[in-house]
Amino acid sequence: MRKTAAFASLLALVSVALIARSFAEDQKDSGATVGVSIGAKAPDFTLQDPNGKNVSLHDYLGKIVVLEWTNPQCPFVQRHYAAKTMQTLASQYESKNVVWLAINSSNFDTNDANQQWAAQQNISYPELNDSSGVTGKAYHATNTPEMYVIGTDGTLLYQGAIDNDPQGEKTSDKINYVHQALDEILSGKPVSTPQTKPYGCSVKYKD
Amino acid sequence: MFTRAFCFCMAALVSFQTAQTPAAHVHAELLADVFAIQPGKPFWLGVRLSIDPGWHVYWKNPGDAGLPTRVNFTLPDGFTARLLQFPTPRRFVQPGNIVAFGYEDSVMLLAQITPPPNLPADFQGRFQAAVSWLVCSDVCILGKATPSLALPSSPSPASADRELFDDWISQLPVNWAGNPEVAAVHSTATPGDTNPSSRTCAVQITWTHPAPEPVDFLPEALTDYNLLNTAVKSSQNTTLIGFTLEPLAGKTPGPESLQAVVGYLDKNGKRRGIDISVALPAHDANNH
Repeated sequence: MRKTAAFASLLALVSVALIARSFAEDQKDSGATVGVSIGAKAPDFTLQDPNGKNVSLHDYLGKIVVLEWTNPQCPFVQRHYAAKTMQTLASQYESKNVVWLAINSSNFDTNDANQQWAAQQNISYPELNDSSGVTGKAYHATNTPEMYVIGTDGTLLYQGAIDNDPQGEKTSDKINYVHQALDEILSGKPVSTPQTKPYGCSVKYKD
Repeated sequence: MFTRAFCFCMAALVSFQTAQTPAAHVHAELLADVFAIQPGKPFWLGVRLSIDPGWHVYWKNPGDAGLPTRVNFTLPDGFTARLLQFPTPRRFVQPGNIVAFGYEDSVMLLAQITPPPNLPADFQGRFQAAVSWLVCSDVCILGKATPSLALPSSPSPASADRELFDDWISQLPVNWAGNPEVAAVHSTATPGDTNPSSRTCAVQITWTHPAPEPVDFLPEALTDYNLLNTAVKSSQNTTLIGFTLEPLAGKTPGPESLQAVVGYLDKNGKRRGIDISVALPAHDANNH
């Protein structure tokens, strides 16, 4: 009796494993969203800055590029701007061959709104308009803020959260992952934490 | 009708006392399933969140984005609280294929409270819940409230809001073995073909009746993996759930297990959940 039950459950497990495999095959065909991979080439894009000027990723080959997915209406973004997390980091590395680009993929984004936000926050770097969501989806950006660091050769070196403090309440052991990655890249070391789980508001895509 | 009007007034009063901002989109109340507490006899505290139409708050794993709803209880001396329990959430797919787990309309987060056995007959205590949440629709807003409740002691049972509590308690996930609708659950996790450090996982649920539709796969958060490609298929008495776990770049996860809830609507349209666990064997050091 026990033996039969054990055999039946073994059979069931084998069939589950087979089905899992066929699921995985199905999904390869359907082009499921995996996003970009660490070490792979970061997708190129051309987006407008608040003045309507085109900015392309390929313009910055030879530089380290930080992409910051942002949305001024998101409380997590607001918290980091109030604490000057992004502004301080961007200016700290400006003279070290690091370019900072903020990208807003909210469906309601406009150049005017980005202009206003940049003036209000005294931001030196461009906030790019991706209201179509095409660039956000190419990177599979899901959160604001969500950070990407791209090496001088155009490969992705970091993707994920700005820091390890989603609730904004840590008083010790706080790690800013972008800070850490930039320091490591600039001193020729591999990035020790190349991927983390981003936290924040969902990106407000159009579709 | 009268009861409903009365409840509404009480709710308005609590809201005023805890000074919530008017555009919070979430209203929090603290309720108990007793009018009075018996010495040593456990009872439930419930944090009921009433959510504006079109808005949602998040489960303990918010999904691809969002923030878990949190509750911290402050109890009178000698009282202990068990783990906060979340009713089975819904799965939302937002534009851009962003998956979220959470609640619309209303939810009650529950904790079982045990009073001390030597509770004095003249006891009168205040219970407080510090609640924080992220509520989202087209935009997201952080919110918090600290509703509280005073309860006396009683030598005899004094049940309150029984129907409401029973309704939400029945929506807490339970182990499948204790659910007469489920005959068996099997799961596997095998190394991926293209990436041996990934795990191709499958869960098979055998129901004692035709499979409910839809069935939601609601995984708890994993620190070292991304969960991708969730697919759920049912046929006759069987539901199959497939998904892939990919370690975050730079991570070599140790042996662990994925805890998840399988959510569905029963034949009466009530949300139900089954707790499941998928064992994830250690990564072979040679598999890189």
